[in-house]
Amino acid sequence: MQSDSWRFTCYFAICVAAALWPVAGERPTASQPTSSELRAEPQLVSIFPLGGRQGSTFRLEIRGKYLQDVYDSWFDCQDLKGRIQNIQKIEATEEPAKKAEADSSKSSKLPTEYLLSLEIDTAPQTLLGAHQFRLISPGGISNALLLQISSEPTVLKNQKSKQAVDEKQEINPPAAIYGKIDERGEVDYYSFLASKDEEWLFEIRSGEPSTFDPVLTLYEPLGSWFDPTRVRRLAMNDEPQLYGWNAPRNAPCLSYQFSRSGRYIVAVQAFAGLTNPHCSYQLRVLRRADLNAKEKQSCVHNTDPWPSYPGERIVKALPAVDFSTLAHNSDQWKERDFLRRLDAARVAAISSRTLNAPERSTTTVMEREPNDTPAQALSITVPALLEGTIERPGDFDFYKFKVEAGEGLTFEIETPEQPPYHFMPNLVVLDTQGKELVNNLYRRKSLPDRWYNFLEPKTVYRFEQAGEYYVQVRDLTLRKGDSNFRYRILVRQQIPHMGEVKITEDHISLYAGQARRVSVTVEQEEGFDGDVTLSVDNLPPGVQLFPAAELTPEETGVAYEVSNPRYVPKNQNVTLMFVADPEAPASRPYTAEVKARAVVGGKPGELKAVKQILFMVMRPEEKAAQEKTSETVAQKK
Amino acid sequence: MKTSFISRKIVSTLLALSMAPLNSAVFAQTHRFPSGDRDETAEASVQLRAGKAPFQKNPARLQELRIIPQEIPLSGKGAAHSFLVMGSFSDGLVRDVTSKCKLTISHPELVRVEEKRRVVALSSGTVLLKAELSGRATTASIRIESAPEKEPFSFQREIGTILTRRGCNASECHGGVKGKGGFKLSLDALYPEEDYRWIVQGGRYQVLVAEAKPPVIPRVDVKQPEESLLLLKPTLTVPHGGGQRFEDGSKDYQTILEWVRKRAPFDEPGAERRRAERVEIHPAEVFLERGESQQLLLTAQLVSGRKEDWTGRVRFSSNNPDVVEVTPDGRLQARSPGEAVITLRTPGHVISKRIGVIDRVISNYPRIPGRNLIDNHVFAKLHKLHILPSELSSDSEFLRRICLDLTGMLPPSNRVREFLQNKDPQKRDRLIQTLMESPEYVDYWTFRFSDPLRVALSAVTPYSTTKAAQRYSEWIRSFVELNKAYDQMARERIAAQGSDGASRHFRHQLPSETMAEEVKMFMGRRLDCAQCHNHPAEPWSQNQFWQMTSFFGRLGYIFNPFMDWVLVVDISTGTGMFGADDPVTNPRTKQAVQPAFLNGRGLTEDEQKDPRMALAKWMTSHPYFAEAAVNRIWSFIFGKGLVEPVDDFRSTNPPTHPELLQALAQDFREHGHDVRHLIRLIVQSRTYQLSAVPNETNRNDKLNYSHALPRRLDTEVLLDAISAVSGVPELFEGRHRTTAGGREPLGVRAVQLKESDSDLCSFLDAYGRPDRSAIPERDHKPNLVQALHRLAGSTYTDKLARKGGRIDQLIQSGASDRDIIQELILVAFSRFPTGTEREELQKKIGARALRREALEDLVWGLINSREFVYNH
Repeated sequence: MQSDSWRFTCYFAICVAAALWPVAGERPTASQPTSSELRAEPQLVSIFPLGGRQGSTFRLEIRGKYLQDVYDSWFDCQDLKGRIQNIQKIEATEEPAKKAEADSSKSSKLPTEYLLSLEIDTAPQTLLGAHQFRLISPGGISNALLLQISSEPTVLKNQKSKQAVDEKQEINPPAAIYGKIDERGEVDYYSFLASKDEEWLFEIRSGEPSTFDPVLTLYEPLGSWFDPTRVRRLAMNDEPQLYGWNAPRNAPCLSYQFSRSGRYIVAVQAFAGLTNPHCSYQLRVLRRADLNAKEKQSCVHNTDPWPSYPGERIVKALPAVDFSTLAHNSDQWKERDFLRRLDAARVAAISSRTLNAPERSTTTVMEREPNDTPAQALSITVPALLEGTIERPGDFDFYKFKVEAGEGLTFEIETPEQPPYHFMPNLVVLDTQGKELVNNLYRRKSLPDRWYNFLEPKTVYRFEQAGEYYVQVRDLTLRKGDSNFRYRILVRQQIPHMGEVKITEDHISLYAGQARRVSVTVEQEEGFDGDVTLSVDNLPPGVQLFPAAELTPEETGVAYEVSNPRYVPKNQNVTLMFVADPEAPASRPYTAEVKARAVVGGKPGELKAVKQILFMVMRPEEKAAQEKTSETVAQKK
Repeated sequence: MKTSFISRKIVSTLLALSMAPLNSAVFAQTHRFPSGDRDETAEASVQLRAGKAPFQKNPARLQELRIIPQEIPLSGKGAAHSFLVMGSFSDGLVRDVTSKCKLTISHPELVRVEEKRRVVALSSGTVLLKAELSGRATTASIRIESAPEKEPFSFQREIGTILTRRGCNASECHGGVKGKGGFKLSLDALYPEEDYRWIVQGGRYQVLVAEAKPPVIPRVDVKQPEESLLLLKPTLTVPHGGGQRFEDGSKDYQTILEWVRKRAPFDEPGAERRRAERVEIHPAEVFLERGESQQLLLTAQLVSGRKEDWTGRVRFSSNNPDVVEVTPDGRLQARSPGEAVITLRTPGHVISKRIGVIDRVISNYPRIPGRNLIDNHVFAKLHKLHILPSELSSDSEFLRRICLDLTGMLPPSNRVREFLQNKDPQKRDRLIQTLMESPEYVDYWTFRFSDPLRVALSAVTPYSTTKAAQRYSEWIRSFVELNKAYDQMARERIAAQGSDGASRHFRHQLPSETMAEEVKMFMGRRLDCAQCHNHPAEPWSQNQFWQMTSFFGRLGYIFNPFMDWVLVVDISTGTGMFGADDPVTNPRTKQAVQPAFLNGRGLTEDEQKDPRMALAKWMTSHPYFAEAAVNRIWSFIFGKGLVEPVDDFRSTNPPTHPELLQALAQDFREHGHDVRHLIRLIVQSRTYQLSAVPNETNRNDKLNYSHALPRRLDTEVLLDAISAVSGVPELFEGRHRTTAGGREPLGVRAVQLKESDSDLCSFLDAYGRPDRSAIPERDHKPNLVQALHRLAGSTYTDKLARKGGRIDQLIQSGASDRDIIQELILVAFSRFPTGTEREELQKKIGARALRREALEDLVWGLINSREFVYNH
């Protein structure tokens, strides 16, 4: 069977036989490699600098583990190419706590850390933004790190500036500055000239979002009566500009309009002075005037109900590069995301994920003020797409609609301009007596005495009584609202459909003769009770997919979380077992594609792409040859 | 620490010298305000120093007589009203001369005078009362109106008065939280319906439930009135833990007996009109010479509009009988110099009055020019107390004080030289302006407000994160830096929603705690006491407490899965922070309560959309708001409030300067709640700028701002000052689980630390971090750990020995001992050394073999001296 054309249909029945397949780490058979023969996958921890300029060649230092045998690099597009320059052992940089833990444990030993130097060529047409890259060794393919490709000239931090403001480094924006905060309490200062009334944009991208939380501060070196070298703070931000699964973490951003011409200072430091050797950053500094009209439009100032510092604005995102998504990213279905587009195409897309099509077409209703009270509510007919704006703090928008007894509706919310948690759209459905029936706040008990509420972009409700009802929309805080607080609300009949299909793995390194289990979770939306089939395209030669038994985990402890079908879909879980034939040849990385299809009443629906997984097959006996290859690479350099 | 004999001698020399600001003329006066007003304080001080005290030797002359009240209303035959005759004397004092006057009545057939202090109506008409003394005379008119034949009975007025005057409903007796012996009365008959229930229906009071605990036996016996417990207990006919309160057959006994005989009714129709709407004490202010006495008078304005003498319905008490004693009928006796608070309790009303006792009268009290309204009020009271304010502070005193109070920093030596040499008469005002515009002002006042607004990791548990605390701190910083109006800041905090900085303080406590904290912070009142029962000292009921709590009852969290914090919102579904589905309930009555303001008003339909914003607007427009704000800011600068503790305004804790407090609050409101304006007003006043050196008249005064009172530097300020003198900045390392492993950037000062508890610092531990888990009160008491830290702690040893510090720099600059001594004293004390200091210290240092060690000891001595450790 050719792996490229291989396709396996997996129904969610338990396949006991498949569970008998051995998995990695289990006792090997005679034909399988022993663990001592297997090399570990390379693990990338951090890079410096965090990126480079489009069309340039730059050198990258990569810190990580199991890098000693790395012989190649992998990028998410052909416009990026890497050449390994050097690999050297370095001192362990583990956090002290982890190190102490490893020291105290007789059995475990921290793996050696390496510093790998990679020269990268970027083609002039390389897409701006974040690109994934990985390293390849005889142990397999590594995890991915992100490389930022920007259009601004690159500036590398002058290593002298560590603490004192008088050691500031002069820059000439627009610039993408790459630095590192690797000493506790370190502050990097950059000085630049700005003209009166100019608006400047500043953004920091953390190279190690899980541990490095950068703080962005803007100063004016005015001195004070006490200290002539004292700088005065003009603006500060240590928060990301977007909140969401796709949003970059720890990426503070702000803009500032200068009230006078002069020299200013922008500083980068770690929140609470918490650093480690991986804390590299990219600081982008540019003038708003340098942006084109489209970019300016997309660079939205977040509103604050209370006065903030003169000139200071927290901006939603820097427009030159939208870092919220990868430059190369496969289209993924977002069932619950305030930024997904709601329109007629959405309804069609939902329909394509099942065999259930809506009976009526969706009409768009544009909000008209005043509609602040139920008496002023705009009439709508379901299904309807409501487009409106919370124009001011405390604004309420009302719509009214009719339903039949027993009718189930779905309410979906999109916030295209100001995503949560800047704009917190609160949708409430009321009856004519003002009684609340539906609220997009999902209440959940997280501890015995603590309740949390989750703001949900979708909720469903079945109306027991026929009659007229109201949709009330507001910003939950009542403190915010302006022309950017736009919303779209899709009110429609429920369409049972296949929701998100979730797979954790994004790469799999497999030795010939090994198997690897992958769990898949399929969400069943709006009462969907059909089947879902899964298939995987473009597997490396010699790799096959089998269904495997799903183990039911034992319940432990007290579960405080209360799931509510109005907010949380039911899940179906399935296990896929990827098996590399003992004779499978070593492969280059293959981009395998997982696809899913709903099956209702025995009829299959449309095939949907779910996720790309990088696959690589290794052979233990080829280890020596590959080592030789890497030595050759090193010698060439 | 090096503690060689010689170094100890240097230290002891310095410690002796360091007493200088309090007892010598180290700070020679060098400044005069550029006003044309004549300042006689300096001359008076010179006289005092020369032993020529300007105390009065001859008796004062009577200048004027006045009868209080000027119009005496009497209603019906037999009605009585007390009066006072007050004499104004040449020494400025107003004395009670009632008993010394000759009293005459224009129509004796209409009114008679009893005991030379009371008039009794005989018939209707208008009469003149004339008082004569030492050739002076005055009159008051008495108007006698006919009264209805029978006044409606009022339980509170008749029975409540007896219970109050006899102390039965005092907090230490049945008016206490749980009552006494199972019998509960409301404090000072504040809730007559409840009192009536417990007396007439009986039963034992229970704190947690509204129902009476058996046995339910009435305390009155309408069949056998004389057998009523309400008579048997207070007359001690049966055992009574409170002893005898009145005698069998006394007037009070008869009143109660008659009431029981009439089957113990509550109120008759129209009784409400006999309730006191307002009560007033006479004289309005009282300053007595030691040994003098003064009768107090209490008049009541009834709901009906009638005025009555209620002096006989009052229970009087003094908080300091050593200073002023008060008799049960309201006669004051001045015992010793100082001030005492006299509290008058009558049904439904508690009123307090400060009484000042003068030590010695000053003849020809000097003219003291004031700069603003603060001085007008402070100096007017000092005049009445015959206390002379100290002289204006020297430039050195002023410079050090103003820098510490506005920025928490010591002035650098070059700035000290510059200021002391500056001859500009406006230089103090200019410096104030400069400092208030400095970034150090922002740092310091952010730190100052972080105490009452509570920025600490411990204050945001159990979800404590540095991020949340720092976000909250940044919000406070923006308030200070932008000089945001104080009422706006308060509204932002009370009504905070979402993830705004102000909302971070909502994360850790029950709605009742949150409400009580907001009221304490912004209205200066402690409502907490009304949580489990009606407030024991103020007219706030338990239900009012829970009505106010209800504003915060729907405060909930929205979990943000993308960040390490939650968002705070009011949730319409009634899902409270702790999962309470039901609205807030009164725990005693188990009844649901709706939000209502302290004045009892509920929410309008429009306000119901955003109850907390409505509360924020109500609180910030209430008169309590501005007076609480100015009192707090005043306390930041003077170390104590006009009301102290600053968040304990109550009728039994009156301000030291009530008119000043009102004037400041009014000015604060008129200037848009501008904090910088208020601070500027305070520090520009002469009162603020008085010297810490006392004179013979004000040495014992601690209340009236007659001289600057030395205050120990706050821990953080002291640490920063030591760092400044040593030239070695402190390094702060994180100690909390969310900051451990981190470090503040080099040069961050202790006052710039955002949380009080997130950094490792042995000095802060020894000298005390503010405990911001509640609104902190800083403890400045010395302790053994501090003493040990001064001897061996890193702050006092490492900083002095560190290479690159100030000592190193001075030695390397080639400066002479004389210059180094001058520089160190300039930087530590903001003044030049005196000749003696310079001479002595040069000798001591010159005698030491190791110069650096001697200089280290010198700095150690400086930073341990009182002059350094205190702001004076």
